[in-house]
Amino acid sequence: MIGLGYRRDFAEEFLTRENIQPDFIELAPENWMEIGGYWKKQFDKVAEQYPIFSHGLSLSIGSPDPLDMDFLKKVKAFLDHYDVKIYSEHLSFSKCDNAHLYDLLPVPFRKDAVKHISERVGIVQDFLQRELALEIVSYYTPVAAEMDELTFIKSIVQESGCGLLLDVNNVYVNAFNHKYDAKQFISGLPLNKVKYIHIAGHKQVSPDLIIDTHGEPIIDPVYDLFEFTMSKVEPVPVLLERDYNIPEMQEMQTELNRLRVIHQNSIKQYEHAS
Amino acid sequence: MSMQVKTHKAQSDFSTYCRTGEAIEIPGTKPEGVKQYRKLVFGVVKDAIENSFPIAIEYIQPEIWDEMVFTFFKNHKCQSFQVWNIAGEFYEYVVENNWAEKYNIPVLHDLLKFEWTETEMYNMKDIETGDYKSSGDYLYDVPVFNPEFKLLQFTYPVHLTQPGVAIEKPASYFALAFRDLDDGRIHFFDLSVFNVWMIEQMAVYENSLEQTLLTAKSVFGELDKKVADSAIDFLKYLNKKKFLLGFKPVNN
Repeated sequence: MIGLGYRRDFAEEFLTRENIQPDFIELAPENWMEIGGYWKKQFDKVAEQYPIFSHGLSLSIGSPDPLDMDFLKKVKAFLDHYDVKIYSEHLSFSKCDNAHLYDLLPVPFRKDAVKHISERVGIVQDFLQRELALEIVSYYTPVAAEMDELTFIKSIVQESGCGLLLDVNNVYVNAFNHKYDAKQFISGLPLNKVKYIHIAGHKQVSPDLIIDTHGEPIIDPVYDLFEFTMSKVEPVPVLLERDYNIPEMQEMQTELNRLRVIHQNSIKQYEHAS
Repeated sequence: MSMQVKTHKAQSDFSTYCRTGEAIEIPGTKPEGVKQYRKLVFGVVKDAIENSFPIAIEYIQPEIWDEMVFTFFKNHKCQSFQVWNIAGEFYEYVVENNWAEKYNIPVLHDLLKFEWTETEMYNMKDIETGDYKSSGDYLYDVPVFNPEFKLLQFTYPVHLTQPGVAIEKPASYFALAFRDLDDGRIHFFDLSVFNVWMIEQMAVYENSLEQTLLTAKSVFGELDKKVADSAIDFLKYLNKKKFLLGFKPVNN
């Protein structure tokens, strides 16, 4: 399955399917909980036609603040109402000292953070009655790290039992910014825990810094990394993210088609191998 | 939970820097990367606020506006997990701190209230519309209004004209704001205080216009016959504008 991130202004295109044909849509529940009006009605129509995947922004699993159980209740109601197939979130924090920050800040790669996050994953999964898939986020600086990123991620997956959302573009961005080998990094992940894959475009803003913008087309090296990844994981759903500089729908459909070819080839290889 | 003081402090310092922009030494970070986060976080907040207040941005001097947004985010801990709600918290912060006086912008609170009402109502949860019949008697039947409405009071007519003009006309203004059930747009209508009172009577207490006018006598004294006629015209106008949806069905 190849999906596309849902935006208000895509509603009509998704309903007519003339220019874009994703297999599923993904959205941030925060953007659709506790609201109404015209766009909610449009979303409800789209939700009747497509499987819904949910990718949260505000769980703040890595925050030192307590989990917001009232927020989680609302998320649960949303996931149940729309029969959401996969609930994923970010391995980051977006709230601290009782203040929301509206971005995905990097968690210190530390032993106590592993334990803290793993305990919270357990609480969230029990409460939501669902497996949580955590996304490896792009980050522009480590913070007070005492282990490397790969060890940190592997430790959390091992201790918490959560699934992984592998954002291929994020790995590409991180590998460039922090000077490691992306394929080696991916090979070192617990790939049997990958439940879902994201892919997007990015922007290089200086000779040694790439920002994960979701505002550009996917570049060829990221397609290559995607192909490499797909050869190593079980067939899982793949999502194209595009949040800025939105092109014509046909252009995004071209990207979806290219992803679909790689995805289908990997399925054939996987079936042949098994 | 298992978070140690050192880890907690690093996260707290990092997030404080993102909110204030004031440099804090955080162990094991890359300065250029840390700056990116401040830029990204502040950009999200500024965009969310500016998307909700396009008229205010045009009216207020850019350096004053930037100072307001900067000061708000530095001192206020945003409570909503929804980005669009930041604008509401900004509006409340401005009023609580009386920035109309601080920055000598008398229309500021009314202007932000007007623009925030539009954003808030545009996004608010749907409210169930009760049963109604589309035609009825404007005087004797109980009107059914679009339930997605608010009655507002302003000191400056920011709902009628540009802030630069409104500032010259302080008085008591009342307005009806409601969300169009079809296209979701927010409409604002200027109202007299009597019409505001009538809408409250009919919408909240489910009174007919006849009952409302009888009550009006006890509140306002004897009413001119023209008042009843103009009240019927007012309801017809609200019907035409899709605020009055119809009339309550009569139970047999």
